[in-house]
Amino acid sequence: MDFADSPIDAQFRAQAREWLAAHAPVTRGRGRVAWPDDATLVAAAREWQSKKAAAGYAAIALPREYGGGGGTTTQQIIFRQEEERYDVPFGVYEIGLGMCVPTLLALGSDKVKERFVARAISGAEIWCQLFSEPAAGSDLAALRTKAVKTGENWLVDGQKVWTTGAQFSDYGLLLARTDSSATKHAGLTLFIIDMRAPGVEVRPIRQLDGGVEFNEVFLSGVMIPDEFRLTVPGGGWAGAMTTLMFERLNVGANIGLIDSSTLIDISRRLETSTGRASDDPHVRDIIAQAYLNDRGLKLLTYRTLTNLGRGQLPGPEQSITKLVIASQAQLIANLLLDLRGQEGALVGSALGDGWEAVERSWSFGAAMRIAGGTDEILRNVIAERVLGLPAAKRDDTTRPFNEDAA
Amino acid sequence: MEFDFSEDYRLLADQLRRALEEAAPLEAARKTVDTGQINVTAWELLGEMGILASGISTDFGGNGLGPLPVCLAAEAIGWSVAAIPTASLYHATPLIQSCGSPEQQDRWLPALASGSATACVATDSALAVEDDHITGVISPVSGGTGASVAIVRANNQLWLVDMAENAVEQEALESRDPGRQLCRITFRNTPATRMTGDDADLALNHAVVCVAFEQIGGASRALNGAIDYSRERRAFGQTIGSYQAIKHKLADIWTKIEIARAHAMYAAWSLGTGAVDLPLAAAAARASATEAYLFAAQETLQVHGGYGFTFESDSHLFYRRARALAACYGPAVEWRSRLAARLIAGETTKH
Repeated sequence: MDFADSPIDAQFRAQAREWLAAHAPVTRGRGRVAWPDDATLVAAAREWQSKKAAAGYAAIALPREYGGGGGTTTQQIIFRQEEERYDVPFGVYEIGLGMCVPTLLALGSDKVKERFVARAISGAEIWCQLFSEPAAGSDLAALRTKAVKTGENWLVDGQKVWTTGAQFSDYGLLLARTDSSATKHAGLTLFIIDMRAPGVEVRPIRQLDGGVEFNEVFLSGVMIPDEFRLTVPGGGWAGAMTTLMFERLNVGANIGLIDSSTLIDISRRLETSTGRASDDPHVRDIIAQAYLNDRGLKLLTYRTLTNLGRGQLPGPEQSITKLVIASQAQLIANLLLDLRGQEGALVGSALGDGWEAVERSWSFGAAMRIAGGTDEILRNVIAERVLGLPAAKRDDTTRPFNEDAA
Repeated sequence: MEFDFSEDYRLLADQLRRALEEAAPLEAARKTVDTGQINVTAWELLGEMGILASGISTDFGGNGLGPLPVCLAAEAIGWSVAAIPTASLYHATPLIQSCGSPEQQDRWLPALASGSATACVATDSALAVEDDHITGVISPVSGGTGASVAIVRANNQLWLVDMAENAVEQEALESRDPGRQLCRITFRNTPATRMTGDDADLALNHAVVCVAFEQIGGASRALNGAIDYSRERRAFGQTIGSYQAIKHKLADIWTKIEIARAHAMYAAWSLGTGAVDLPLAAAAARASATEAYLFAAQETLQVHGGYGFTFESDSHLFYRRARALAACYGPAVEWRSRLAARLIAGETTKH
């Protein structure tokens, strides 16, 4: 066993560290910088992205010919580990570069790749992903947004939901139904949609935590040229699975929730009516439990990095991270808020330094157990794809979709 | 980054698993529940494969390969639920290696390396000692039955007692897991020799890391059995493995095992390299693996329904062994408490 980077990766890390020290704005404190509004966030993100692109750090594992870094997934993870130390704007380009661009490279025509990839990597254009719908969440193939071929174009009508970043995106990946008489999974097609096209209306969704990170997107008679089609008509399900597969390469991404270190940190300083919180046996037991989980996940990331180094791509076993960390964040947040007694009912900003991160885990922890695959779907993925258990018998996959939906 | 055993060791792990599956099939483990007999074939096999000698330096008949082969063997022992005196291999051997006097090492290590002797340990005992003679009772002692030598604590020091002495009495106790024998040992002014070192912590950490691997091996086999069963057993017109109630249970077991395995591997690295973070890593491995095996044994039995409660099923083998392994070297709640104390004091791991 050897925890060191390979000589090439060590050199890459040293260079990345040096570059970040010279170019990244602020060292990271506890919790993330809140950007006052989208315009400020996007402007900051665009500036940071163009700096990274100029240095070859914008899309490290993507090919050089499209403006990527031509490096390895391991190097991309190394850069992320180093970048995490700084308060740089996250959340604007991650979906585009992590999921949409790799999909374009895998499925797009040469013309599509030339038109879109380099501009996405440089930060000139922002991407989002339009998959989920009000009646199609975990059961994504139940989606009803329709695309109908009219001449050389497709006309799209329907509604998408939970679209992160739709409000500032230029383009999106759209999964739509092109044949309602085909079976559920066979009638879908994957497109590129221009988010500024007439008929696209983005409405922010006000969330439980008061934030507005997600959107509803209403599509009314939106025209998509046929050259923006990424799969053969009816081949959209396999295309969407390609997109979701790239999500797994998002190894070790910090989802911004608190872990055992926050629990230790706060409980060491917190006086309760019965004494210091970190002296309480129940608190200590949760500290141990939480540490076993988040330290265990860190070690599993080392396993994934080891496999990447051997040329193996991360598999469905990656599902474990979010499954464990999100519900644990809720548990820790609830424990810490409990320790504040009646004060625990106040909003985070009223509780003092460090408590906004606790409140965010209390609220956003709930979202993270749903976004990107619910806990329940992730358990199914582990059971079926890792442990080899049979899929549930279902009766919705063999009938024409329009009979099922009726 | 190479967070895995070397290819040679991965091969050794496969060999160990296959050899023990043959020498100690689950049918043998079931028989042991009635007989309480040690699986001599499996023990001899570990001797032949050099496992018993690996924690022992070449000066004393060992092969000096260190703790990693023992960890791998422990996983295979857990997988096969083998009835062998592991306390001798996991705990007593490293303790004599690290704390024995040269005479004690010369007397016992070659015999332990060849498997012709086994040793038991009760480092938490509080016996009376006078003029190098020990008096008192220790109970329950794991691996005590048939042990050639015992390591005990008296007057806050470690002592070694040759069990061939006349003034020692061993009495077998009834254990929930007869594959892990427990006994009561009575010393009546029994001659003992003092051990020169008293750093018993290293050997204790060695023991709990090995037990963690054994727990992971057992939990994995229990999970595999439940997966096989749930792919075949039908209810309500479907195989039960297609139902989410079963899937989610098995996914949760797998998750706990994967996390425990990661902790155990790191602790093995720490043990093998003499890293300073061993106490923290070993406590994490111990707490994590104990939880994983208890949970796996309990919930895989549940997956088998009524059959899981029969003697004929394998479920009770894991259920018994998980309990026996949770009971040794202090309860998980204590290990979690120690772990929390270290974390609150600001201890961290090296990597």
